[in-house]
Amino acid sequence: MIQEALLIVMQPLVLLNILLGVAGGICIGCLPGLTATMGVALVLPLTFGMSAANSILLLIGVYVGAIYGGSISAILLNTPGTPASAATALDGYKMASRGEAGRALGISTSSSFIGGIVSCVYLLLVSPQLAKFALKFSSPEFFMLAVFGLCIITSISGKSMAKGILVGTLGILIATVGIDSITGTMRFTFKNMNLLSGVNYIPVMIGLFAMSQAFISVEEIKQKSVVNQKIDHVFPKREDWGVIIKSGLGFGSLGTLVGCIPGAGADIAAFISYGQAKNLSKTPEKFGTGIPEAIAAPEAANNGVTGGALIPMLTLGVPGDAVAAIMIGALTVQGLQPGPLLFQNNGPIVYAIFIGMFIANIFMFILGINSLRLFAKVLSIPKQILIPIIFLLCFVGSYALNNNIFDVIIMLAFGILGYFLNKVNISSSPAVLGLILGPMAESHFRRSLLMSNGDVSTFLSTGICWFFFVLIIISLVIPALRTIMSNKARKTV
Amino acid sequence: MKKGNIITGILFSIFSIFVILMSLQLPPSKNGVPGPSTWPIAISLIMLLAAMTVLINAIKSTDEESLILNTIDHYRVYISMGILILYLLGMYYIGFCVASFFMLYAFFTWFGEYKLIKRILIATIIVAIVFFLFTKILHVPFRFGILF
Repeated sequence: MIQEALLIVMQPLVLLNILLGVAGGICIGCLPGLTATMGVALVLPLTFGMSAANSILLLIGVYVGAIYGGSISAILLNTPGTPASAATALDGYKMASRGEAGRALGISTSSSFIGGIVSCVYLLLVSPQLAKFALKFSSPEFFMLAVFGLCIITSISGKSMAKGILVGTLGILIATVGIDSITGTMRFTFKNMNLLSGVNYIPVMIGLFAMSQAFISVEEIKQKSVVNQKIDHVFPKREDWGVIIKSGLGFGSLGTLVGCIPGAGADIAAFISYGQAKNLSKTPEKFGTGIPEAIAAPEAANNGVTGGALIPMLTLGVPGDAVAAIMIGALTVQGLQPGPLLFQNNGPIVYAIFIGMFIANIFMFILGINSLRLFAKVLSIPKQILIPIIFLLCFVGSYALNNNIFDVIIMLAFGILGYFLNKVNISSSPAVLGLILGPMAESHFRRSLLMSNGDVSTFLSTGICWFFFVLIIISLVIPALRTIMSNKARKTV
Repeated sequence: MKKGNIITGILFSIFSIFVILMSLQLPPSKNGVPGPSTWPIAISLIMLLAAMTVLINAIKSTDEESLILNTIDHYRVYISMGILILYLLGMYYIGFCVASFFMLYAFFTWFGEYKLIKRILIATIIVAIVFFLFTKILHVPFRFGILF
């Protein structure tokens, strides 16, 4: 299996795709306003004509590159390129302001690399075991898993749980449009031929993540970013390597763990790690003044998320974050269904993804250390040129899926919706995850009841069901308790 | 944000009630086995509950932060949305290349302060690259409109 996977990955074209993906991802990530999710959503249409391994490895390259790339503008401009780098900006910019931009970027590159490699190791070790375990799942277990995924997404992904539920349920309802797979009844199609096969979630994702982000960037179109920092001595000095390796291993693992939790993305992992590094430090008062530990911890964690997010996606078909949700779309377009059977039916491709992820991290390190000055130049690309190009790519990308103008209308509608959701502090991620998990939950819900002749106790008939039930309760109760506690604390202050 | 949350709560409440009413027209469940309407109704009820929570919290809230959607920066976004809707129509009725060129040219002119020749050149090059990439390499046909 590994040999077959190596044969897939070691083809020159595949390696070139990973390299281009990483380089493109770094460029996208370092531009403030362009997120990793947006980058992957924009590149997705380019992969439709590619082979499955080529396609997914290009996207993984973009993902790894973009999460790392965000730190470049965070350090040089104090403006995080992606939300995942917001924690890095706290100390990275302070260090750069002291004339040590190269050192800060070197620490960020190296710890991102170690964090990424750590997450790959976990991905390689944990995924096959989890997939083997998931083969025991039948409809009730899958239903409980999907409900758990939906519950935790809505409770984690935003400040307000109720708002998370609103968009999560919106996604689930959009997924019900089309011909019902069990009875053949048409649901919410309004006699529109284009809706018979349902709403395709790729145009929805391009709209919510790329188009809406481009609209937000239009608000700041007049702002100019100028890099004044001198970038030299990027390769970390001997005294910094101790911190980098320690943080890389520890916070890379923490990032992987956070990445496994559906809905908890790289930004959450980075802030948790920054806080933990501060708690564990002998000199917590130095955090915020530009110290290596404070740059290494969030960077290791956010790249640790990249591998972690793929674990539930590949093994259970449950996306760890919005990027993993787009990758599910990419796999589906290629005729592959993420889940435990993917390991049985398409083992070489799965292992090719694992190996490709290692290679993507190595490319990221090489490019990061050698070409940082070049990537810093990307920061001077004017938004006035870039944003209209993103508009064009969103249109073309959503059309390219089915050569259908209706998909473009869907994309534009969700782009506008995503912009206004952002204005009322509602994250779009639960909608997309609802779109993916909704059909899984509904089909297993109805199948379970069909098999049990309507007996609802089937959902608690096995130990695995009970396990998920307890997790569901915890995921709903903890955020509610946290809100009550913080309200009480606010009242006492 | 109080006003924004109230609007959000109301809009989602209306939407969920609309979906429930639509779902009631679908075939019902039989012998405890759920029909096509069960799932949408259950999800809409959860949405309605969440929308009511957002609405009640917003009414009770003393949040001073206001929802600002009428600055010059916001108007720029709304006009951009309008241009893109026109572009969509233009793409369909006129043709991909011509409509894309004019869309890009319009944005470059509006957003930036570039010379005429630069705007024309950049717009032409980008349309040519995208057209070549998608039609020749990815085999995506752009067959619509009276022009090209």
